[in-house]
Amino acid sequence: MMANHLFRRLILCAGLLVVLAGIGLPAFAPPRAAAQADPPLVELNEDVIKQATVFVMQSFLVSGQPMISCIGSGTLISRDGLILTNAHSATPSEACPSDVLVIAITVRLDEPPIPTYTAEVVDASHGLDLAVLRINGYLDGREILPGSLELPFVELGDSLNVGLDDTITIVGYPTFGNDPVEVTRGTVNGFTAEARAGDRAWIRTSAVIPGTMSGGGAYNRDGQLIGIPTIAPARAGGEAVDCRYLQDTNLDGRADSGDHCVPVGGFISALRPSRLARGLVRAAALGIRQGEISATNPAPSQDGEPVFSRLFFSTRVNEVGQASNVVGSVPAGTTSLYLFFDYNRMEDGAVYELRVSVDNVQDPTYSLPPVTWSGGRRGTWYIGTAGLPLRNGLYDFRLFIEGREVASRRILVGGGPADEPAFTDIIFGLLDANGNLVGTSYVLPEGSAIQARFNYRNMQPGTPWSFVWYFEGQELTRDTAAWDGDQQGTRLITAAADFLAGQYRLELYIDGALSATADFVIAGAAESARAAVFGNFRFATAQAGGAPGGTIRADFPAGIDRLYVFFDWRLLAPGTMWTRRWLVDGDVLFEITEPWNAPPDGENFFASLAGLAALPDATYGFEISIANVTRQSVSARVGLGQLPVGTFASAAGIQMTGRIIDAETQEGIPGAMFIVLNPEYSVEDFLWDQSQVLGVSMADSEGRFQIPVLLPRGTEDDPLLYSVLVQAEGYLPLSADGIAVSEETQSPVEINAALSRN
Amino acid sequence: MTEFVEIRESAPLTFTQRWNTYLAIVLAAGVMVLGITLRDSNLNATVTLENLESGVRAQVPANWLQDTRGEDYLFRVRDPNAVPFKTTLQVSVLTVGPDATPDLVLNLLTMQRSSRFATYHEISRSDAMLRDDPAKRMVYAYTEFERNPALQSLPMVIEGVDLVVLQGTQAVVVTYREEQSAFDDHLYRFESLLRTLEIF
Repeated sequence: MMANHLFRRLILCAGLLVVLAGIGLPAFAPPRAAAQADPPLVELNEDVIKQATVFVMQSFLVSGQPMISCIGSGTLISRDGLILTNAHSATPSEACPSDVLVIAITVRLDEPPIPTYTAEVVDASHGLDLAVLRINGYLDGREILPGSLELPFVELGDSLNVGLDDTITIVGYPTFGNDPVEVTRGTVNGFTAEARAGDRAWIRTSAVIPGTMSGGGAYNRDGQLIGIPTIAPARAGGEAVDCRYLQDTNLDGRADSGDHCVPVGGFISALRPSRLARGLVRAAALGIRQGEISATNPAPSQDGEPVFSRLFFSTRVNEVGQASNVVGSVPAGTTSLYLFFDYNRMEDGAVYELRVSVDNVQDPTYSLPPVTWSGGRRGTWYIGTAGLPLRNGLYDFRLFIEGREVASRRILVGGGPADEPAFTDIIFGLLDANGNLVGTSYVLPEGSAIQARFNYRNMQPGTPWSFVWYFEGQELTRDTAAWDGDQQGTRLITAAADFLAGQYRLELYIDGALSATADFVIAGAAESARAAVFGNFRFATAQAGGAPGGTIRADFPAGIDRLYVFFDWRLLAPGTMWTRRWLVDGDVLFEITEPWNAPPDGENFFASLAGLAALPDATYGFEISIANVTRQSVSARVGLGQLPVGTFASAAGIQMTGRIIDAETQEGIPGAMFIVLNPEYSVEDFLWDQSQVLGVSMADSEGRFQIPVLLPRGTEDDPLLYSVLVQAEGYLPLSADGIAVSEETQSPVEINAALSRN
Repeated sequence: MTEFVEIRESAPLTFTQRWNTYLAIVLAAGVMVLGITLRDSNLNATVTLENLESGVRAQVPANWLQDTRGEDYLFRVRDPNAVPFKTTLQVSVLTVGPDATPDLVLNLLTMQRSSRFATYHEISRSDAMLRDDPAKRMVYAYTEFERNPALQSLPMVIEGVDLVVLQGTQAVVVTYREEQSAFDDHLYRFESLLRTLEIF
């Protein structure tokens, strides 16, 4: 009797199980996510970052054999294979001959990278030493269909939000690709300021980073890319570099000093902030590059060694990048100190270095290791420290070019605030009919009189002071007098001359010592006390013989593949530094500063943008600056006038991975299909239409799967609910609704599904 | 010592018992037939996919994953249950000139696929008919591998067949792909698709 009852119960249970399986109730192991007290909204996910880190190799062919010339790390910044890395490790050079750019990727986190793809350089800045690459094929030569890659990637963070003592994580490959991707942690211990890039041109870190990790990534606690570890490129004919002989490149049967040496560098302590790469990255993601520009006559190159001259210190930099003051010593507690100098015969990409010693002991905190020059051929530059208290002592700043010391300057830090006389904050302008200073700027129109206004303090009557005006480096006029004014206030001085277009400088001295200096540019004609240099801006879709062609308007239909901007100019001296910027929806894509190489007056100077396909719908801006003063800003609309929503893929989401196994044998089911539906659909709604599917993955030989897209997050109060299905031939299908993903869900979510045979 | 031996004789079934047994057997057989029929009808159920712009309509297996958003096909269906390769049927349309031939279209397909599929090569090419229209049939093979580098899968040899028929300035390409060892077993899916294909 008991046996009979037991049998009936067994039958009932079995039937129930069959019914449950038949109607597809979920039989999943619950999603596994690490529990943690008060986790941040999105936490650094080391696994994703490691998988997004690639190993970059330049290789060249010798008798058909591939040889490695240069190596570095890089970071995937888009799903379809855009890579951010150093320019010097990805672009061909004398030290890095290259026929093919090979990308090795992290397949297993605990294994070395595997060469998988080839890539091309989309754009590079040798000055910033940054490059964006695009994966363009498999190693065997097969092409990659647009949109078919779905690689793990990271997002660029806001490097301006990085603070002193913040913990950062640096990821890259520590060797020649023999070892797995490595993670190093350190803290931010300072920032280095540079002209054009501002107070945070470099992030300094305490982390010990091998040279091969150059080009990798530095991440904040949210897992966003905030810096690129950067080491100076090797020089084929320069100073001896740390390098390795890996292959017999001269085919003499030996791998020795006669072969190509693969540079590895030393250790890195400087990171290029990711914000400096944002324009390159956005342009690459949008498929936009700089198009043709008016033909000009470049200035003849001057032979000779680079020169740094007229070194002085300042504690403040004004809005146009000029020194607000000149100091010979600074009091204790000073937090910013900039070394200004003039330079000539430099070249973007040249290696320069700042070594700072305090009381004759070198201090890496204030130094800048060898990095690439980004200031162009000649001009005025500054480098220094901002936002970091300087300890008391005698500071020696020594500047090196290609390993050779070229200039130095000393300053004392300590003591109380100085009450010495000083001039500060020079600005230039014109006098109106009422004797008021108008049109204050650092760019002034041609005329016969220029006013300079400056502040003074602690001046005593009778103190000897002088001023010197320069034009294109040549002294124009000089005067010395005894001070006859108040102790402090504002004063005007006038220079009367025929001010021709060109670059000028004013230096103010007190008792023979430089106390203030500023540069200004004379360009254009006076229009309401302002310099009118550029005008008659027009946008067009083509140019013919240097004149606008195609459609000329400021509102273009979607689908154009080129956009030209034309303008006229007047009274702009050749050699004047000017900056042009292209913007898309207000974000800078390209910024180029170079000497003006066209005649002083003319019409129809043009610059252009070109799309790899069509230019995306957006508002395209064009700005021109002279001496960091914006002179003109114009824009044109293409299509809808704004970028489509979601143009820039977001890496914010969770990864879904797991394993599909046979419930009986516990072994993986190769080829089983794991489907994640878009959150608006449940299993019941699913009509086997691909448009309802968010992502699909086939289980590999071990039964592992990985959904190739990141699942968007909901909010804590309103999480996104996902439905999943698992199918494999010979097995009962499984499905489940209501897998919640919110901003607090830890990534990756791991789902293990056990299928029963049918 | 006494030994007891129990001897039982099977009693003959009563009339009711006998007919109950027969009924149970018949019922079980009927349910089985019904189950098989239901299973077959489910497995062979089809749905209609059509593209009015290109004038193509066809019956494809139901419960296969349907994709009508591809750049290089009108529609594609894949069997989600198939392992290791998801059996694929697809219909594509290429715009061709008035002098184009089915062979030219196949040549274009071969050139395109050679740069996209590993070890792609053509196996055979033969004349065929799609209803009353002359067509060309090409069998080919290539190696398929997992695109996600984080997953470890052995490459699979995929066999495929294309049937090309020209309709004015359109070349309609019907494609079937399957893992090589199961290619013949599921070829009937392709034939069914061709039987139901309407070009209007």
